[in-house]
Amino acid sequence: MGRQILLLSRLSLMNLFGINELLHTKNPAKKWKYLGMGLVYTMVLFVFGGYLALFSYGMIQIGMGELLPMYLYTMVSLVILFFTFLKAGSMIFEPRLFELQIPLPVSTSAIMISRFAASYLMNVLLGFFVMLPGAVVYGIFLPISVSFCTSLLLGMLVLPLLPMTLASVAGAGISAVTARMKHKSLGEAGLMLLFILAICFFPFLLPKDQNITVDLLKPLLLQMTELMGRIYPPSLLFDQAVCGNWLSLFWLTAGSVLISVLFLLGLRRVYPGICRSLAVTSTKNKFCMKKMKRSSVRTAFWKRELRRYFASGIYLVNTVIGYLMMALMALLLLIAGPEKMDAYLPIGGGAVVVMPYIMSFFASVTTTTACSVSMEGKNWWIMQTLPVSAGDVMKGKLLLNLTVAAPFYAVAGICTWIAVKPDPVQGILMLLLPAAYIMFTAVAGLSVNLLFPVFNWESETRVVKQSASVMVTMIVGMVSVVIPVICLFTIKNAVPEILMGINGAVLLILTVILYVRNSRITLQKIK
Amino acid sequence: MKMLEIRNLTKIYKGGKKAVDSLNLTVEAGEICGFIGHNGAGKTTTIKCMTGILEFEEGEIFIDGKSVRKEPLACKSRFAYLPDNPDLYEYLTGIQYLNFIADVFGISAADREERILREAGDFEMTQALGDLISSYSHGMKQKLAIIGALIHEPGLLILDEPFVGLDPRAVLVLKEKMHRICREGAAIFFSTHVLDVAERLCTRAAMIREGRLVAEGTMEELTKGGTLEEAFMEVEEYGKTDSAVK
Repeated sequence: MGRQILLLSRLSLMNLFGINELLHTKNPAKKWKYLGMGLVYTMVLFVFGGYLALFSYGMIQIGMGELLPMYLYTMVSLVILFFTFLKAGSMIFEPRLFELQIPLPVSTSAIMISRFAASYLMNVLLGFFVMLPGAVVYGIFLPISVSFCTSLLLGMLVLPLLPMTLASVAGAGISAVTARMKHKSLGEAGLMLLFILAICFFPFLLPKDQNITVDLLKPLLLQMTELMGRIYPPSLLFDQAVCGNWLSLFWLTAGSVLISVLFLLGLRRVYPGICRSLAVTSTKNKFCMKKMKRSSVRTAFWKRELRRYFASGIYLVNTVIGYLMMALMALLLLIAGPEKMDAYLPIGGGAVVVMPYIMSFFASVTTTTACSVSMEGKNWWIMQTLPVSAGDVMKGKLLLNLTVAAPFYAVAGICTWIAVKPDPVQGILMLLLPAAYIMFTAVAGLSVNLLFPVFNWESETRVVKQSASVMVTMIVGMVSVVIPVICLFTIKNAVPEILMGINGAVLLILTVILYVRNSRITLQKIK
Repeated sequence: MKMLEIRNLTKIYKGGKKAVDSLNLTVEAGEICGFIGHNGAGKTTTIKCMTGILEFEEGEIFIDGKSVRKEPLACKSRFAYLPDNPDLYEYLTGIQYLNFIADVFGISAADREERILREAGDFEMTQALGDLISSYSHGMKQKLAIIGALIHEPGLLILDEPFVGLDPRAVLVLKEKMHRICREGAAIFFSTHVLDVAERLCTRAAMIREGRLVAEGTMEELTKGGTLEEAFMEVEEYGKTDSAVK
């Protein structure tokens, strides 16, 4: 079975990030495109690594260096938990791949373990990239021992096992529950969102007697790490292991491996059932033609995009999360009151100035358009052969994004308005700025996806989570918010309303330019 | 009336491979033209150039007198295309897919209802129209794609291996429909490997080998009293048949 696992894992890994296509394509343009994507990924890793190195340096400077290993370990575990959970349904239980592999003379366990192994390898790499900058900074400024290096290495190797197992248990549970539902994708998306929100808002649910004060950074970090150890004991074990406690290292390693093995043994029984039930689609016995209605081309495309959107749980969850957070933040502000936010802000104006940017930030990190062209996949020929212009196709995709964003934007806007009670000018700007960001990110996402389309995919994860276009769009969105925020905080005597006005105008101009460009694109050239 | 005219079509793939080389071809209204060639001869590439999926370096393609390059939307509204592997929107039901196609082609509600019922009935697909396309077999997807291609009554039907995956009854229905469409004044251009079908169905045929048109003419001109299979083997062996035919 070991050979089977190896072969199947290799197959899974070959498809990741389009590596195999890059190595074997004879199309130079495609090669350059993949190299461009690689460059983007490398840049992101460097920026992220740099940020972590600086963060670690800062921790050491304020005398909190000893907490660094535990802090990084918990952070990586949370990141893995979050991302593996989003991918578990599509990567570990992907029914299409299961159908392709099950007729081969390989055992079901081999298929299951190979997918877990491929996911594990990716997460180990992710763990290394996140932990390494912090570990290097730690090594430079603080004394390290042999036990530190050994524990760090072993800890990083076992780190993904527990969050992956937890995420897979949740993923398996959701897949098992939704497999019998008529609208599987919607059920799956709903449960996934609940789980994500539970992770994000868990700290708020902790009892008040935890007495977390935010008066000073040092006690806050101390209490946070203490809390981490209680919520997630492996991070405490890791902390003790790097300090030379070999027994903790043993418990961490043995515990992680044992729990994962037990999970896989348990999953083995239900794995084929989950995969098969995910693949089954219900059929009606009788179809009666109802009165048909004619729609305009634009409406027809919009309806098609809506159906596409709600048919994919992973697409829905990954693109709605930003908007959902935007609405929840506003709701939180309404419940907690703007005074608490005002107290921590270093600039005048408080929540009324900052809230539009917070809303804009969440509106900019996710958009349905960043992978909407890639989501066409093997159906792209239909768009290319129908008598419709590129503009019609793009309008459908943009309309979908606006339809998804609108209810969350409305909730966020109303809650913020009621909470901060702005004057008319502030109120208009408060509503217009996030709206401008929603439109800009939608159009920018589409532009980026037209530059980096991926049509040859087997699993939606490939385009929704692993594609360069999604990552680039996220960076573009974040940068577009961070720059004006820096200006707001650094320019002395700046009038926030004027800055917001300039910001909105720049976004509007960029949106129009990109929109016109997208509408004039030749669909044949997108491949 | 020329429904399809290809003039000196040349398609070179990135990397330098010449998939289609100076191809000239004409299909008149009322004709069924079979496009025959071995695997990798350039049939699908030619068809993809005709339908706007691929761009081409040299030459010109006219559909009902309109240039594919200059008036792509006008051309697309005149033809219907059926690919060799019908990858359709699996998240839609059959009726939603047909409704979408009808909306794009601007077919009135009454007309689409009547045509969908007729075509789906002929292909025994009516009962399955309420189901998601993802639950369809390959043959059912093929039938749905054919129905989608027929409901807007195209002037030119471009089909890539249309009989692959269809059950015998559906093959018969499709053949009858092809004859009917041509009688009504449209033209059909289809690629196939099944020479028997081509011989019985087509009014003319074109043979392609390594991207070059090596034989073209009516069935009588090509077979010269023999079979299409013999003519095809001759082309394969010697590169071309009687030069008068081409």
